[in-house]
Amino acid sequence: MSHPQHASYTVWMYGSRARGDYDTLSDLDIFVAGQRPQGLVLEELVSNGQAPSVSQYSWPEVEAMAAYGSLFLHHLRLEGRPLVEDGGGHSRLMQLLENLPPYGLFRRDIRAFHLTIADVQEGITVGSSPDFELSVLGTVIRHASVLACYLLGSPCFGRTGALKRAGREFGFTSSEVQGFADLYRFRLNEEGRCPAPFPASWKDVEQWAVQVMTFLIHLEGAADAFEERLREADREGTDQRR
Amino acid sequence: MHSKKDCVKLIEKVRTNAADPESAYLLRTRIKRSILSAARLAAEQLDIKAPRLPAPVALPAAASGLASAVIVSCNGLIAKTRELCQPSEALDSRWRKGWEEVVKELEVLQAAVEAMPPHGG
Repeated sequence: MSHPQHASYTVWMYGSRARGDYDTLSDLDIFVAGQRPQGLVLEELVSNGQAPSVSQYSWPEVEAMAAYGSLFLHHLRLEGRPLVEDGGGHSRLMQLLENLPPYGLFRRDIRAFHLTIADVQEGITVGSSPDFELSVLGTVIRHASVLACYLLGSPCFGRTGALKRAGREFGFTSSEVQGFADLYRFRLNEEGRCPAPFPASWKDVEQWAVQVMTFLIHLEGAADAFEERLREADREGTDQRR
Repeated sequence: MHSKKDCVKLIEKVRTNAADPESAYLLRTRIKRSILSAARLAAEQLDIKAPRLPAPVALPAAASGLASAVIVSCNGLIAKTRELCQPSEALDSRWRKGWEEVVKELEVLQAAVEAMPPHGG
């Protein structure tokens, strides 16, 4: 350990490349904690020549995320792969990941999803476009399905894996789940990663807003059950300490 | 077709949330929608193709005037908010830090939109 701890950093790969289930639409997700040296070229750490999508956090930010049990850090803990580090960055991160509490902001997330859908419905009248609003709905369904898997006790962070798992649990048919996956392609389209799956219309926006709302109702049920499990674990912990 | 009033309403909705952002998640989409709405309004006036998505708009070489200023402001906001956005997790703390700059740019955008003449006028 040649550097003081304040200069420590660690670089991890996560997402589909780390899981090994990537496809042509996948990007290369890289997480950096701390300040990486200027000379460190991330593209050189992974040999496929693809430009990475980098999430860079300072240590105080990572620590703040760890305090509320960040879902992203749960993701990293589950399937992240360390690439390079210095100054003890790897063990510093590992310590935070090993002591990660349950994710605590899920109610706030669900509220934000609802407000986002209300905005989408309003977007119809304020000069937006169906392509953008379907992209927003696709983003909500993606994030809601990742949160759902976590709350159901079966974390999954894959683009379609989380949709399939949560969709099945919530009783959606496979064609409805496929519809959600297509909806997410509007988000990929917004990022320039693929063409839109179908020509978007305002009628599509209205229909999909209702479908996503239905998903959120199931998500709220999963959140209630998750809270109940936490309370139960708390009670058991208290009993054991007595 | 939407009006200047609708567009300004969207921008104000983002600005009024600035003091106490419910979450960075919501603000990200609201800012994008404001940018899209303003850019589409300006594109109508410039008689160029209205963008379908909140992405930088290329101005015709000869373009100038109030609608062009709106496009320039939209493009600036896209660059600024991209810096604040993480692909992984929207961080309230980071938004709060970068928010002042975004609010200033939103004020510029709102003033530019308000200065545009009504379409066709």
